[in-house]
Amino acid sequence: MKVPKIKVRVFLSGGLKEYYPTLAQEQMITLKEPLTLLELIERIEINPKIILGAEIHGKLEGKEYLIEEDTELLLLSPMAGG
Amino acid sequence: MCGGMSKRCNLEKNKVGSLEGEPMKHGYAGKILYLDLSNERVYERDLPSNLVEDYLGGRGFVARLLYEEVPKRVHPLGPKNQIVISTGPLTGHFLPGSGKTHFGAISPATGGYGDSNMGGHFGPTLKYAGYDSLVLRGRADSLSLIIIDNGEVELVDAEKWKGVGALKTEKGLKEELGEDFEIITIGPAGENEVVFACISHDFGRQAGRTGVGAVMGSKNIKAIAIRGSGGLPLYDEKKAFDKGREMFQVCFEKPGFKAWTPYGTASITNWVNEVGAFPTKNFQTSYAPFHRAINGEAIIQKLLVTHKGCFGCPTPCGKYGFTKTPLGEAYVEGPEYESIATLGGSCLLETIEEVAYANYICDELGLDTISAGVVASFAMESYEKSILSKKDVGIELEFGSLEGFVYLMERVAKREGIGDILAQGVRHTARVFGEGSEEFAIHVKGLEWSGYECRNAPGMMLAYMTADVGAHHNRAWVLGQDVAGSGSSVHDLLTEGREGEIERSTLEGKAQKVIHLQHTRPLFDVLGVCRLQSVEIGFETHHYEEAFQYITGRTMNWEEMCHTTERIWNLTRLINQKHIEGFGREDDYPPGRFMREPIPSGPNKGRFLPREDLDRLLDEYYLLRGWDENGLPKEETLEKMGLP
Repeated sequence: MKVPKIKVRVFLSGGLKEYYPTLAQEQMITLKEPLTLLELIERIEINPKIILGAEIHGKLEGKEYLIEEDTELLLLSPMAGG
Repeated sequence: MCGGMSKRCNLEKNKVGSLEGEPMKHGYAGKILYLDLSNERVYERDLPSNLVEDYLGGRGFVARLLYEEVPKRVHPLGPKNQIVISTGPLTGHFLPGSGKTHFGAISPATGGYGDSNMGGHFGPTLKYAGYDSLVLRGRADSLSLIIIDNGEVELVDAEKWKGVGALKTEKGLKEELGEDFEIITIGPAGENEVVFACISHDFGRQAGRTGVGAVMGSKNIKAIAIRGSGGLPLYDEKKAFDKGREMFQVCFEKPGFKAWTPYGTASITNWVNEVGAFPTKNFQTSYAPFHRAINGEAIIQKLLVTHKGCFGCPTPCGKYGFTKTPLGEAYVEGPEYESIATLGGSCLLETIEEVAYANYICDELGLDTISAGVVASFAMESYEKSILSKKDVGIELEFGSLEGFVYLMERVAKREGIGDILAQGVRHTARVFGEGSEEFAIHVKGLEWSGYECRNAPGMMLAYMTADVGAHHNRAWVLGQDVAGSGSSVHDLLTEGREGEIERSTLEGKAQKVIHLQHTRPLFDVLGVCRLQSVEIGFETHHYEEAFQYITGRTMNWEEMCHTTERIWNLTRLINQKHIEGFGREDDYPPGRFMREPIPSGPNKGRFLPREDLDRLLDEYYLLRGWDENGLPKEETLEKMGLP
């Protein structure tokens, strides 16, 4: 039986590219099963503490977001306010 | 034009020639306007080309003019201090975020270099009226309003606005003068020279920090209204316009644009708590369990009326809202993150409605929300520790009390009772209170700390320690680097199992990163554009290089521009040295709480940064800067920077 795969395109926001230059280019990741955003972040070896969330379908989603289908996401780092 | 206002005088302009080279032609308005308020005289000065070449604009002009023109050890609230209001070369042009204005003076909070930056529409209008910078000197003999109408300058009596709130004054002046005037005002706090009084504009934008509002009040200036309809000369009109259009398009298409814009700066409230850096209960701890009640989502759900942007803004971070509390209701812009941190976190106001109302009270009184939150929470802790009594304060004062906060700030603004002491800032207040309260007076150099608790973040701590204006975050925001560079916790770097020597390598690189950001972030304040498009959604710096070239005709890459900001950084250090007696290394340490008191709860429980760790950071920082061990620029450094 063929296992369905989920294709995820991952981009890093400006600040994150600076912190993780080796991941600065777009990453194409194939998942065998649905993962939360947090699990995905850990899989690509980014410190989850530096992630504010991700822009998915034009909306800011938290690390608990479940990735169940082919998705394009932008990982966002926090920046100073005020 | 003045309607019913009592006109005191039409100020006749005297031209003073450029002493330092030919005036600039492109991008700039080409003139500095000096107002000598004591003598009711106005002077125009051609913008000197060497000022432009060496300092570019904005913060650069502010620093250079303060250094040159203000006498040593001036009283910050005396007539010899001056306010410099400056735009940058990109201010007012057709490109994203070009609405910035920089304000500077010798600070009544620190006694040294002070500045603050503001969005809105004032800076562009100043340029359209014909001026890159405006300098206020002396002191008017009674409360006055300055009206600048396309180069005509009037001084108008403003006694009827005495004691009126900053927001109400702006509204009233708009009604009298017309919507096409852009107005900056102070509230009662500025009139009464509260050292953390701000300058307000556009119903919610403030030059909040370092007490520039108190300096304006000390000059008896309640407000400045400007109308400008002139143009600005461009080096290459077509390329400048095309570049601006491209920059807007790039902004709208940037990944992150849609996610960031709805929440603005408040979007980071949850994250700052997750990493244990949220100032809570006068910075006693670094995590507030109620933070989800005061975050960006809470603003959207409970307050928001409309998003609000500044001149040329594609990413409106202003959240204009309506709040209702048992104390009253109000329309208010914000709260943005820093106000959430210091009013919500530090004072323990646990609902977004309360935080927004406290924000409104500060805006109307004309108080910086950051310092107000820190001063109020310091008083609350002093009361909790029985350093203050009900007799001293006039009421029972507790953390979490909106009534207590409003009571204190109203007395601060009027300089009544306990408010007269608090009005001089947390450093001064701790000296008066004594009894060990200096340990928890949260400031550097006399400026109250903004929204990041750093006992677990050595890079960010160093950034606060070395910021030229005092404890302000926007010179170098290194918290992200601190977190990204750590394992499970930043503090593993420093104090976890700290028996014996700390690994030198764990501290290396922090100072360099801080210095790098101290050159890049203030560059936006020099150019006169908002940094948020770059730092929040990753707008590339080459856009600014190209826009700068097409507008001014001058070619400079980002690195070359950062050499300018390095020169300015050394100059502001010299200004502190010039005005603060005995200035040096001791002025760079944080309060004792951060060096000696472990965080009692939350994700970073047990963490603190002992002085010997801070000394290592400072040693490396000074070395890289070319400063001596007391933190003063060496002669060869000044020579390299072209400084006196």
